[in-house]
Formats: sequence, structure tokens, C-alpha cells
Amino acid sequence: MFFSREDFIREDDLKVKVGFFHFSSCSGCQVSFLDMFEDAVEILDTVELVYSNMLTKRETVPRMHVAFAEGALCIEDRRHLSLARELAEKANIIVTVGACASFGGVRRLSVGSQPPQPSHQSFLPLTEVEILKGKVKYAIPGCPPNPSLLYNFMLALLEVNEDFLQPFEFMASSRDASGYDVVKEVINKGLCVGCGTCVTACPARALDFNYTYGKPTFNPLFCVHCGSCLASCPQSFKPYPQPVY
Amino acid sequence: MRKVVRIEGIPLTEGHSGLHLEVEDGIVKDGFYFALVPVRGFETLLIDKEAVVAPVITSRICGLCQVTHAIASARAVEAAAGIEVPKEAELLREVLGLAVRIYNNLLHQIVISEDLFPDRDERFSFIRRVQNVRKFTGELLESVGGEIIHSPNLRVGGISEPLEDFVKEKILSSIEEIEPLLLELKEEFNEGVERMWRREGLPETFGSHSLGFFATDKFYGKAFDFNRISFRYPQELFEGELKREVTNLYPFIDGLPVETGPRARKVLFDGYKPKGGVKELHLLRSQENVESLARIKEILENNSFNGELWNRTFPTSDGETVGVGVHEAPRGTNIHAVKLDKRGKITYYKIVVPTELNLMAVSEALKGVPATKVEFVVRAYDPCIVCAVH
Amino acid sequence: MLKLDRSFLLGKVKAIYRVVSKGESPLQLILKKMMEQEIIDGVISARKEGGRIVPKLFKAPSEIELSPLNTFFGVNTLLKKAIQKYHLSRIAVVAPSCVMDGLNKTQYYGIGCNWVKTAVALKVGILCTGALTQESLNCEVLDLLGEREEVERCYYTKEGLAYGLSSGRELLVNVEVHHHYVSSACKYCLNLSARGSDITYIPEKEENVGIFIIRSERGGRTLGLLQKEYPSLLKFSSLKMSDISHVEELLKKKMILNIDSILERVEVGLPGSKWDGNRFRKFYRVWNAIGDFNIEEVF
Repeated sequence: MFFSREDFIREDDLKVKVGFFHFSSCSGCQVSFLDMFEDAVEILDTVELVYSNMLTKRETVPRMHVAFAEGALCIEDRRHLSLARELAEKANIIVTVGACASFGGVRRLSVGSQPPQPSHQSFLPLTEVEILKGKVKYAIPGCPPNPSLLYNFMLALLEVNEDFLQPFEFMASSRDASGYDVVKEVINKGLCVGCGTCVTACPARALDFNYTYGKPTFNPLFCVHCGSCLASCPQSFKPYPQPVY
Repeated sequence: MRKVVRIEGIPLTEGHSGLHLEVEDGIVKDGFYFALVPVRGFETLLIDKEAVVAPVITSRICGLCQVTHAIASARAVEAAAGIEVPKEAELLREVLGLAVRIYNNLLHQIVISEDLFPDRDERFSFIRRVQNVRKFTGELLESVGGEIIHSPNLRVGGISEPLEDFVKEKILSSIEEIEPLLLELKEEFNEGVERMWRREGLPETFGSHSLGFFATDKFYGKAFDFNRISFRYPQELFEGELKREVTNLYPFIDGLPVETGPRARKVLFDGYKPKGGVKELHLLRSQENVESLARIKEILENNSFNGELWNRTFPTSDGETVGVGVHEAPRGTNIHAVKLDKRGKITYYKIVVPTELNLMAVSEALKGVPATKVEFVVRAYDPCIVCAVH
Repeated sequence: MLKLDRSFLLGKVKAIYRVVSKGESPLQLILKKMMEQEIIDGVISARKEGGRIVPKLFKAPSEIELSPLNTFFGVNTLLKKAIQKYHLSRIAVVAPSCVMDGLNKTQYYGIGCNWVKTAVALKVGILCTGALTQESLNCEVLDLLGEREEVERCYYTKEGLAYGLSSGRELLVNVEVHHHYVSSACKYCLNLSARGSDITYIPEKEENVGIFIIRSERGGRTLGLLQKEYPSLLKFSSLKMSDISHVEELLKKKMILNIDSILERVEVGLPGSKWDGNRFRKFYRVWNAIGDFNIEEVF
């Protein structure tokens, strides 16, 4: 349980403390959070944002209930290593937001050898970093996760809606994320119903739909390894509560 | 007494950056602004990938001004392969670029709102209304680009989906609604800047420098000779451990450091006489929002985008021609250069980002500023560190 | 023990109507009228185009033309276009339960497309005993009929599933043969009657007649409104459960075949889906406790 009474410094301090951290990424996930527009303002009003380089003046990392982290960890950067240590110590739970932090995303393609620091070449998703293992509780797929997903996730987290959160817990222990998932886990196993939800979910349009055989087709060239396709597939994880009528 | 101060992490800016300052009697005598986020290696990871994928991957350089990289890279590939892009597609790209300009400038206003409006209620009311305008730009980006962040419709050869007239009309009517709000916000923001200047006791020309300006176009971006750009490495500029820590390059135009961005565009294309100082930057940026919206309206009103907007020629080249793609991003001129081989694979990729250019301008502007106020100079340039270190 | 009872096969039923319309399919007419009344601003479904059935987003009442066959592949591919590009906010989706599943999931989690939760105004489920691609349909007809013939319509009669052929003949489809030809995933489907939608639609032999199973308040209200507005165009007659016992019978037959297929799969230990290794074990739980609780909450 990420939220406990002992964390409160003052009696009247009942807000959930969240921080937003940034490893090697494009900041898009944090911006996507702001793209809930008015709702983002409401959420910022409801929770206490204790750390974000973009939105707060705070320079040190305080203790917090939930750390949202985006981006992959660069092994060759000592700042990333110390931030990982700090998060392991100070956050009750970590939520990895977006493809880079959860599954590697486009960061999996990095090869280094670019000036001025050619040694920066290895980028790991946070879910693979041993020191954060116990802490990374949920992984959110998407490049970037769309605002409505982040909004629903925030609400579910605040309400501790286990039903909603459970699949994201599964995803935190998932390794690869690409269109091949849909190919190998759904189509190849005879589970694809041809609904097309994965095609709509793909943020890079790497998935297309074929009407001759009624199934999605995958073009790996455009895939950014975000995991949206399998996560959105109605055959990947069930149950989710359906309207009872 | 002269002492060296190092600051790491500038709050209320994007990414992780640092300052190296030489301070005498509390005043900065010499300063350097640099990035500290790891190099992700977009220039090398693109090598041997097929050129059609460049806009998709380069878009992921930055989550704030994503479209800008996709446009610049698509234009670079098109230039290298000699692909002609439908005129309407270029206009739609311009619309996307301008939408992202407003979207980003307003994001910057949210980011620095803590500086402007110390009163929490006033700040939240301001942010709420800014979000309303951002929502409009978000919807515009979704309609034209396919997504708010990382537009998948931007392809080498044009735009993959036409924009039907009724969607266009919808956008135009939203513009009518949003225009007065944007003007109102501009006044409020400018007033906030004035108040902040008074509150902090900052002089009018706070943070001025004597560098030249660089921009290629007021709105979209024009071709540019890539050979005019040279780079200096941190290994040549810094002493000690900074050599191994600083992660950005310093690009120079014709061997000189320059400032790019809203002021440069205004000076070079509107005959504006710069007063110097960073307050002007804030004001010009909010002015640019209004101008961009007017230009979006102009483009949408005078054109129709019903037809095919995508030239699907597969990009190939001789491996020698440097294709240069330029786009005027929110923060300045964004330049991508690419070489392709006969199979359509990328053999060379180079990216010069506005913030990278501006790092030198920030460094210059820091000189003469009280050491306690340096953050205000940095924030005024709205640095996007993830872009600068790509 | 799994009871293939009414609530499992048909789900919750508020009311059942047989609707006779003037000219075209009642569902098609109802959607047109709804759009004219601005109750909805777009319909996502599928239609026949150039000899094959493709998903289609209808934005004007005159465009609406629904797929006459039970083929609705790829309908959800249009969600992003409808919601993110056109910013439609009152969309009706017409498709069988598998598409509804994807839609419900996207609505619940928000993965894949922005703000689907608030953009869908009506979900019309199509009764489905398994989807066929064009080629499987051809093979099925050849199997049953012994000759090549084009299928024009698919509907349900007292005798079960039937195809209206281009020659004007009617082909009754044997459920077991049908089970062989349907798409693989349809053999593991436990939601044939589109539980979880607002309305389930069952096409009948005459093109202008169809059965509507009302499941939700929203579905009931919408139909009630149209009944009042267009009494001359749409004739509603209320049906009892016993009037659709032939549908129940058909679903039962097909469901038994489906359960057989699932059990076979579980027994051989064929892999299930990635993140939910429990998919088929959950099935056992349902198997043992079907009478006890509401099925919709399990699947």
C-alpha cells in the first residue's frame, strides 16, 4: 500500500504527494499529463506535486508517496544512477510512465558514439533496474500514454481501484513491447477477433488493417516499442468490468 | 573577489541543465550554460535505418515541440531525395508547426507562472485559461497531425491524411472563440512580466547581450546552407570534469555564436529594433502567439486540403547530396541534415536544435547579471534541454 | 456446473421489440433518424464497398448503409479518426460483441485513443455466431450448397442462421459446419449476444424487419423517443422471451461447440494471452459458478 498515515508530517496534511521525474526521454509523457487541460489543473489541485523540474522550484528530492518516472536510465550517466538510488529510497512506489521507462521504447535503438559524449549508449527501462525492482509497481504503456489514460490512471490510483490497476502491475514485469506482441500473443495463437483496437492504439501507425483476412498487419519499421497495441487488445487482459446490462 | 559557482538543475525549465559562473562581487563576469542529460544518440541510431522512418523517430527527440523535428527531418529527406511535396501539404505542415508554437509558448507560460504570479489562486486561474487555449491547439494537432504529441500523419513526402472541409470549418470557428481569450491572456501575461520585473527589481535591459540574430523565416523555415554551421565541443571549451559531463555541442553560424527564436524572427523579418534584455523575449513570445494564430487562420481560410497530400515516392539518393530540412520551431531555427544512399538508407544524420544555438546566447546574456538572478535569464530563453541533447 | 441458461446466453434484457420499418433495415433507418435528430453525430460500423466489407465512419444520415453480412472486421480502427480527427462526441457504434469488447476496454482504461469514454453515445451490438472473411464465406457456401453462390444477406429464422443468396434462394446454415468455418477466435467466444451493449440487434428474414433486445436505460430511451417521433415509419411490437426462443436455441447450440473448443484448448495446454495467464483458468471458475453471480462482471 503506497499511502500510509505515517508519511504525514502534519495532521492536516492529507494530500497524496507525487513527484514527476525525468530520465532519458523526451518529456512528452509529462506534457501529455498537462494535456488533460482543465482536468490537469484539478488534479494538481487535489494532489501535492512535490517535485517536478518543470513545474516546481524544489531542487532536492523529498519523500513522496508516488513517483512518476519517464524515460530510460542511461547506464553511463552517474546522475541517472544517483537519481535511481534516490527514488528507491524516497518514493513509496514508482509508476513508470510511457514506453521508454516501461519497456525501453525508441531508447532500445540507441547505439552511442555521438559527440560530445560518445560513451552514452546503453539505456535501460526502469523496470529492468534491479535497485528499483520492488518499487516499480505500475507501468503505463504508450508513446506518449494518452491524456485520458493518465487521467483514468490517476483517479484509479487515488481511489485505489485494484481492478483498474492490476494490468498495469502485470505490465511492470513485461519485457518486450512491440507490434510483434500482437502478432505472437494474439494473432498467432488464434485469439485475434479482428476488432482493430490495436490499429487505433498505435501512435506511430505501424499497425494497419487488412480486410482480406480480417486481421492487423505489422510494419516493424515504424514501431516505437511502446506496448500500446497489446495493452489495448481486448484479448490481452481480461477481465475488466463491463457495464452490467 | 572572483569565485567560481556551479549550479546544477535549473527549476522551472525543461530537462537537467547547469551553469558554470565566474562571479565577482556578486555579479557574473563569465558564464556558461550547458546541458547535463545523457546523449541519446539520435544522429547515430538513425544511420542505416530507412529514410521514411526518420520523421517518426526524430519526433521522439522532444515531447514539447515534436512536430518541429518531424517536419525538419521530413523536409531534409525530401531535399536529399529530390521529392516534391504538394503545396497544400507544406501549408498544413506550417499550420502544425504554428500550432505547436502556440502550444509550446503557452506551456512555457505555465512553467514559469510561479515566477509571474506568486499568489496561488491567481496562478491557478491563469493556468486554467491558458489550458483552454492549449486545448484548442491540442485539438488542432490531433485533427491535422493525428495525435497531440508525436504526430504520425507527418510523413516523408507530405501529410498522410487529407483535412476535410468540415473539419477545417470546425477549426476556424474554434479560432474565432479562442482569439479573444488569447489576446486577453497576452495582456495578463505581459502585465505579470512587468510586475515580476518590478518585484524582483530587475532593470529593463536585464540580461542583454551583443550577439547577432539568426532565423530563416517568420513562420515556416527556408533552405539554408549547412556548411555555414560549425560546432565547438565542450572538450575544447571547458576545464576539468566538465569536459566529460557537458552533453551538448555549441553550434556557431559562420563561426559566430547567435541568438535564435522569437526575437531573431522579429528582428530579421519584421524590422523590429531590439532593445536588448530578456524581458523583451517574454513579450515577443506572447506576441508571436497572436501572430501565429492569425497566420493559421489565414492559411486555413485561403486553401483547401481535400485532395491527396502525400507524394509516396520512395526516398533514395546518391549518398553524397546533403538534404537540409529547416523549420522555425517555437524556440528558433531547427535544422536537420541527412544523406541517403541508393537503397534509401540513411548514411549521415545531423541535427542542430534552437536551444543548442541559444545555449551560447544564454551564456552571453548571463554576463553582468547578479549571481542570484541568473535563473531568470535562463528561463526567459525557454530552453528545451532534451532537444539540445538529442 | 455451467448452466447454459437464458441469462448466460442473452444477458440482461429490459425489453424486446420486433420493429418493422418502411423500406430499409429498421436499424439503418433508426440510425438515420437519430442522426437527423442530432442524438448522434456519427456512426462507426461496416458496409459493402467494391465487393468487400470494410469499416466505415458515417457522418451524414444519407450515407448510412450497414453491412448485410456478419462481417465487421476492423471497425475499431476508425475510433481515432472519429474522436481525435473529427472530434465527434456522440458516436454510435454498430458491431458484434468482440468489437464492443475492444471499445469497452478503451473506454475503461483510455489506452489507445483519447477520451473514448465520453465520446460514445450508443452501442448497438449485433447478434453473432462467428465472423467470416469473404473467402471462408465462399468455402462455407460451397460446402453446404455444393455450388458457388454469392451471399447477399445474413439473418436469423426460426430454423436458425440463414443466408439470403443472390439467386433469391435461402440457405440454412448448419451450426456445426458454421463452427468449422468461422474465424478462429470466434470459436472461443462466450458472448454471442453482445451482452454489455445498449441494444442487441437481430436481423430477420424480411429485410425491413428486425428484433431489438433492449439492455440499458439509454437504449430504451432512445428507441422510445424514435417510436414516438416516427410512428408511421417504424412499427414496434413488443415480444416476450418465448418469442425469441429460437435465438436462444441457436446460441445454445453454438455455445456448446464453443465450450468444446475452449476445453480442448485448455486440455492440450495451448498458450493463452500474455498478461493474463488466467484467461482459461477463469473459464473454469465460471464453469463452476455460473448460476451464482452476474456473468458480465466476470468476462
